[in-house]
Amino acid sequence: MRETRIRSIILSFIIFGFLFGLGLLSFKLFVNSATYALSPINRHLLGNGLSRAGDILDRNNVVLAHSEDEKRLYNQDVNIRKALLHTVGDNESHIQTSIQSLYRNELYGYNFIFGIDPPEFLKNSNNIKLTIDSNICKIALNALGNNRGAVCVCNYKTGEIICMVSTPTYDPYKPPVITNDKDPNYEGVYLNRVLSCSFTPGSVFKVVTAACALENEQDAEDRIYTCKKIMDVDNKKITCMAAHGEKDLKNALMRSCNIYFASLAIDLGKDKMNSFTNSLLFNKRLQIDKISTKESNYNVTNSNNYELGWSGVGQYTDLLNPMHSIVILNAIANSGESIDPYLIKEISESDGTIKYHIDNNINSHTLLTKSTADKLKSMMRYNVQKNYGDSLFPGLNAFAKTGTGETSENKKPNAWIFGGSTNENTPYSFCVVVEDSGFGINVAGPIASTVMKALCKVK
Amino acid sequence: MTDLVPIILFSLKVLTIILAILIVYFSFKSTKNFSRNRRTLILLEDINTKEELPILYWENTVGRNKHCDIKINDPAISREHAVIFRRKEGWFITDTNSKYGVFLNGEKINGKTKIFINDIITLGETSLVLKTADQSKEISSNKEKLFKNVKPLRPGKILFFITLLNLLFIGETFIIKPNSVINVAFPIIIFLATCWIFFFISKYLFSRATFEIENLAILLISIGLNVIVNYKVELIFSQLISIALGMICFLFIIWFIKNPDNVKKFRLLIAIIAVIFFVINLLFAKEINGSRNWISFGGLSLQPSEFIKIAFIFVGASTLEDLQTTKNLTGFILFSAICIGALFLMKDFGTACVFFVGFLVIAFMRSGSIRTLIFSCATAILGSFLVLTFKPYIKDRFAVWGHAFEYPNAAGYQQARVLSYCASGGLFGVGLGNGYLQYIFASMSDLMFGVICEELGFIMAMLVALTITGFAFFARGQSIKSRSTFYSISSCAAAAMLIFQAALHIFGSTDILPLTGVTLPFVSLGGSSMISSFGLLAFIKASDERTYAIRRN
Ligand SMILES: [Zn+2]
Repeated sequence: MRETRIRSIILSFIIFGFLFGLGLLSFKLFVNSATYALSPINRHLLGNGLSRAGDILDRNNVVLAHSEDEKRLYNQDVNIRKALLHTVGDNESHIQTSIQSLYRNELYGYNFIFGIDPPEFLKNSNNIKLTIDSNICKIALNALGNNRGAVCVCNYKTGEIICMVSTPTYDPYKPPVITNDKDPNYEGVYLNRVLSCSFTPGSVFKVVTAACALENEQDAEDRIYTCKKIMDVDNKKITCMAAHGEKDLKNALMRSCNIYFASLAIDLGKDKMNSFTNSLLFNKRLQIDKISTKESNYNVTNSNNYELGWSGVGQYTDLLNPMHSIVILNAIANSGESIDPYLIKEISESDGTIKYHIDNNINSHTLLTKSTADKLKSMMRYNVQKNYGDSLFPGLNAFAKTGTGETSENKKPNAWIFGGSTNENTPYSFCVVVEDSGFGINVAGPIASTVMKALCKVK
Repeated sequence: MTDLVPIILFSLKVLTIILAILIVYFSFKSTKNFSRNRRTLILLEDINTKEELPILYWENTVGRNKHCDIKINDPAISREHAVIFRRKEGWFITDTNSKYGVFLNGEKINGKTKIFINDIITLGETSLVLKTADQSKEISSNKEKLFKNVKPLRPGKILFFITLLNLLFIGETFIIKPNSVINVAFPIIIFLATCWIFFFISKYLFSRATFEIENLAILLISIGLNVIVNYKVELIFSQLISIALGMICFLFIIWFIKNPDNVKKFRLLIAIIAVIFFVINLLFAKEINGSRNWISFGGLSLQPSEFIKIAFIFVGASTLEDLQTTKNLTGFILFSAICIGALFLMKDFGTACVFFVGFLVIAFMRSGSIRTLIFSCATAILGSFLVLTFKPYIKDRFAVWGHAFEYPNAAGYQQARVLSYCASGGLFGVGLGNGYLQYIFASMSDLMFGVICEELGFIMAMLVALTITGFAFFARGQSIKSRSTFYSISSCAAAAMLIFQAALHIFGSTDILPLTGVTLPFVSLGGSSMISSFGLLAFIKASDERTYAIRRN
């Protein structure tokens, strides 16, 4: 019998294996419980599920979403609902970067102890206050009209995102039934174009090429190239809008001369362009609160001079994410120091106790030297004065650059404008992209103008 | 008033959990009740040296080997010379192929021979006289109390608390879905009545003094049944019939293996019947959800592999006397290979794994050979490798293993939902019938652990898992006190199969192991599974020496 007893140790191994598994399972559930419970597959959350989530407010305490009588209710203004769809989210978690998708945990006050459906007296939902101004968003949505595009405005002194609008959009009360993926009215409707898309930048990228020159070359400002409208590189043609003649950096940027910046990029070379763009956070996802953005692309490692030339004017494989462009602008506007943009101002419990406040969580990155940043700012300011005229942004002392990103033969180009105000009391940077539309100054310019005028009049 | 409802509901949930924990705790505690202290049953005294050799167990090996229960240092004695064992009729000795034989009062014995007090047993050059324990000069502690007395709750009282637990469950249903409470309460009351009848039959008809293991099984069934009844009442009646059949099966097996020597007469017959069952299964099976492990006649569907689990243990386990005389495992290995092979042909890989674990435990406990273990595992790995090479589509089943949550709408559909709903339940659950996992395909059989986790909470789900673990601990604890190695081996094998099946169920559905789709013993919906769980539990119950030894007074 004693031997049998000793041999029964094999059962003990099985028992301990089982107990180990239970431990592992407990650990797995405990660590990932929020991910599991708040996954979109969880039917406790769908439809009426959001009925227990807390409020979402804008910077002026306008209620963007709240729950009442077992229902999730959004702002009563249909245009505010549409303008903030991509920021706030809908009932079905279609928009992955939205607050209602990423901050479910906080909105519910979910914890593993009481689960998804705690008794009424233990409910602990939180309210989230955003940095967004819903009224400005509404104006931006109207300005975008029927275009597919994105508008983003940020305070470069504080990092607050004031306006973030993406079109096409829809009313969260009437989610579309999309039968055809190619339906142009709903192309990429679930993507927030400010965060989750990158576009061919065209001429706005010249600012980056200029920055690379300023950071690397002593004589960058005085360097002169001659534009004869067409330049042969590797037996292929780089073309310009006009024959601009001899230009220095400042005037080439003002005239948006392709030949100048293509030549500049070729002279700077692949290595400097690659390493500078990487240091400017290209090819990297940015973190905006819990949101991870789509990365911007710049890579000329395997390109020839012709391609390197086009890459310097924002064509080739270049892609720019609107939120990333805001980060770059913040550095230009703020002497090289870019305050990380953010959306969440504070998270508070239903009794008003503040659980999280941004004031303790502001970060920044030094992306440019002060001299480069200031020189870029003044060149872009010069561009507004000489090229667009201050009437576009009256009283803002604006600096800006437009762009027209060519995408493919059968589509119209992406229209871009980005810039900011140099005034102390209106420290805003802005970025507007309109897909498949036309020239930057004709399409994106008026939208940016409308939004900035409205914003600065409010102030 | 309406504000009170959530408070009452929550308190009810907490109360059920506490009650369930107490039931499990007291049941396991009272398994210690009436258990025999390690004490000498009888004595052997060396005639020359007057050295006393106490006999401690129901079955004892005698020999020169240091692992023998009664070790005698005499070069003329074989390493494993004889077995002295006790049966209902008294004490016996049998020669286990020793070199020079065993002599009883001067005569060489042949086969199993009864021995009496004052008989002289001669092995090699040593002669021993059999004495009762109180004739000992050395052991004075024999005056100590015969049994430990831990003052536990009596079995009937525990069953009463289980009844109360079921009433709390019904109360929970009453708050959540007041309209369906009659539909729900009716089958539960029938179930409770069945349990009490089972208790009284066991107590008065079979005069069993203990009922702890049964109580724990009833607790597990209660938890499963209340979940099922709140999902679809119409599923419950076949489940109730299976429970009753399971209880009958349980009582029958315990009665049938009362005398372990008789079981071996049936061993070959049982093995043949099991193989025939498999053949019938393979010929007439219909394919359900990708496995061909069901046969049906009339309106009745059966899973023969579940019943063969019981046959498997019958064929595998044996008494110490047999272990010492027939050392080779060829017959059993062959039988196991047929069983596991047939399960592979049925594509029932989960059950094949359960059989394999049962095989490992039996093979090791019979032979003690680590080589056999390694050889079996190597064969199994090679076999699985061959299967995966020739039937690559089986690989798809394992494709998302460990990443199920990343494919929530493809191959990880079930596992992702189990994880999501387990996390939704929290520690106390969302309440009976309030879950969503129940609407997923095969939820009541293959995903039962998740359903319990969601509706009754993580604590209750863990309690279920720990109760099954408790069965295994109990089986291991009994392995030395059992009345025969037949019981030790069969109960350890049964416990290993139960716990391994629970492991496949729990870890398969939560993506820690690949999903194989097996039931959770006693808890899941499924008649064949319920009956076989009771069958396996009968072996664990039989290994408890109190089952046959102590009569109700
Ligand atoms: Zn030019």
